[in-house]
Amino acid sequence: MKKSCLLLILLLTTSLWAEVTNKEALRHTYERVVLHNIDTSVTALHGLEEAIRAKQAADAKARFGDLVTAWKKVRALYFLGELDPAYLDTPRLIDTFHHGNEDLADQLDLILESDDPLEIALFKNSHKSINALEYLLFTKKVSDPRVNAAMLRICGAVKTHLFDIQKGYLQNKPLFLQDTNRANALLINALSESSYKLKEWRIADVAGISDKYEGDPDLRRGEYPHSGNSLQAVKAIVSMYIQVLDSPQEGDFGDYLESILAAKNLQRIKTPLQQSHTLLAQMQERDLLTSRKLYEQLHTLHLGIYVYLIDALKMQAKILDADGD
Amino acid sequence: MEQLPLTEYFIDPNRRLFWLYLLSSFAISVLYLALAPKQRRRNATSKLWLHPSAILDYKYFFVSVFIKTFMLLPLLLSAQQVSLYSYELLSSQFGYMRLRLPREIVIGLYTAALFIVSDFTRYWLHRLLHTVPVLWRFHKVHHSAKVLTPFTFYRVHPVENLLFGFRYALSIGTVTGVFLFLFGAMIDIHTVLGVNIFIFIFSLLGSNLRHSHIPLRYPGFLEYLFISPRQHQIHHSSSHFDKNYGGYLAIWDLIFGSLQRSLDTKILRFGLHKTQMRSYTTLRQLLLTPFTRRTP
Repeated sequence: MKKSCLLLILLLTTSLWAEVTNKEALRHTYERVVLHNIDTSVTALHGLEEAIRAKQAADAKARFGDLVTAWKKVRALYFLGELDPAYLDTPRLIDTFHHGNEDLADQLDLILESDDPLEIALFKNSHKSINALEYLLFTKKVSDPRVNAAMLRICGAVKTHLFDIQKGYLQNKPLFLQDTNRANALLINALSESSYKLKEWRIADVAGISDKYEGDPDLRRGEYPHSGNSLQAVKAIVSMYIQVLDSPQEGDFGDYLESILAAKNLQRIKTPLQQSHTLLAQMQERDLLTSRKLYEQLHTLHLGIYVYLIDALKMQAKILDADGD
Repeated sequence: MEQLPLTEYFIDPNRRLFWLYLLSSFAISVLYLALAPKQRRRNATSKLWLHPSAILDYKYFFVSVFIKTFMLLPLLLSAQQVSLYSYELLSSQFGYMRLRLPREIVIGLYTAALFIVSDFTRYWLHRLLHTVPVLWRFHKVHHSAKVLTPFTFYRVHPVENLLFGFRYALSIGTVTGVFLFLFGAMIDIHTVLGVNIFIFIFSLLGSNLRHSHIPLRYPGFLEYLFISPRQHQIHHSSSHFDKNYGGYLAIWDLIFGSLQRSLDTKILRFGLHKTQMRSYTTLRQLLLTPFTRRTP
């Protein structure tokens, strides 16, 4: 009896401790990753807007790279729509990669050639996306008044959506932290979704190793073909994973995983993450065409997230008891 | 502190012999016997609990625990591996998919799917154990019990353990892989003491009475839905080996034509035919007879 009580106390203390560690890791992720990254995106957009307003093409192009880096970190860990359905579609208003099948370049060219006022001409959401901004910034003259005005209008639209996201995340922080299990699920689902899209859309499709484009590599399938920022987007997403799972700061989600996962299963996440990071550091934009090794590491990372999920389900080895009838 | 594998069987809620399930079965039995005094003589006697078949069950339980722990467990395919493989297969075929449903609904669906699919595959493996001659040789070990006690549940040949282990890994692993593919991290299981809530409820409601001499029936239509202890006892009588293969649910027997309700059945004799019983009276025989060419 005494032994059972001690065992029960030990069990309760352990699970209470795990809950505290988990909650801290979630708070860490929310504050130091989610909120931090959306703040950085807003700042990056301000910088870009100023450079466009000053018609400094080189500066604007560099700042566009900063925006891509910041925004991709937000997009690849986006779960605000799960906390508040009103925000479900907000990222699609900013980012059109793999959404719709329209020829944005043709439409923007027509808009620039026309005399219609820009507030009417740029009527679609896609016309006011980061992708539209990229096309204008890297294929047109920033100093051209109509191009400049269009770009500023796009910046304004993107800024509104970024502010929305920022406000939404700030408002929904208590809701996120209220239910630890749900918060874990939201976070992991965001990671699993983005890791799938990262490896398949941003790597395999470009390198010609996906079923759809097998043997046909093409850089134009990248996320930012006009500016050559596709690799930058990949790097940003991987560095966001590091923020979440392997940051130098104590108490991140990776530390929590370390406390609950078997060491070999944790390595199924951390090793490919580190390997991907190392590979990316040596790559140039054109290397995306031959990025099979990176694909393999990201594929392992994606499966590693599922290994965690399966591990967390704690499927008992009760197999042997399923007998005797 | 490491537990002996044997102790675990009584303190782990995932085991049929978990003390709470034994206690609840005992309570149900006491209530039943209070209402049906005729059955008392049969159940509250050393003739039942110390019958050579029951003693063999106890010994076999002890030995089988060690066989399973040290010889079979390392051979088994894990449900985790199957889950991951199923997920990988689905995502390679259909790309990325995520269905949006409230988390509570996803958990309810997953918990129910695990229970239903597992019960279905259990039905079919059990049926095959009876209908495929080579498998029947191994399953006879279980049916050689002349009297039924909760320990008879463990009177199963290691080859059968292995088959049930693969069945578990494949069915639970596949369901989990499909749910991971559709819902990702939203899945979880409704549990009580770490056990699927359905299994817990059925275990608490007297799963241990299936292997007992308490002829507890379910009223009316319930025996079309759930296998009562009496229905499983009917399955153990030599004239009804081909009936009531179900685990918890009777619907599989109903659908596939093997259902036998309690009301229609009167006299029960457990065990194999007399000539066959001689080959299943010792531990050694239980383990080796299925491998002999001329199994009676």
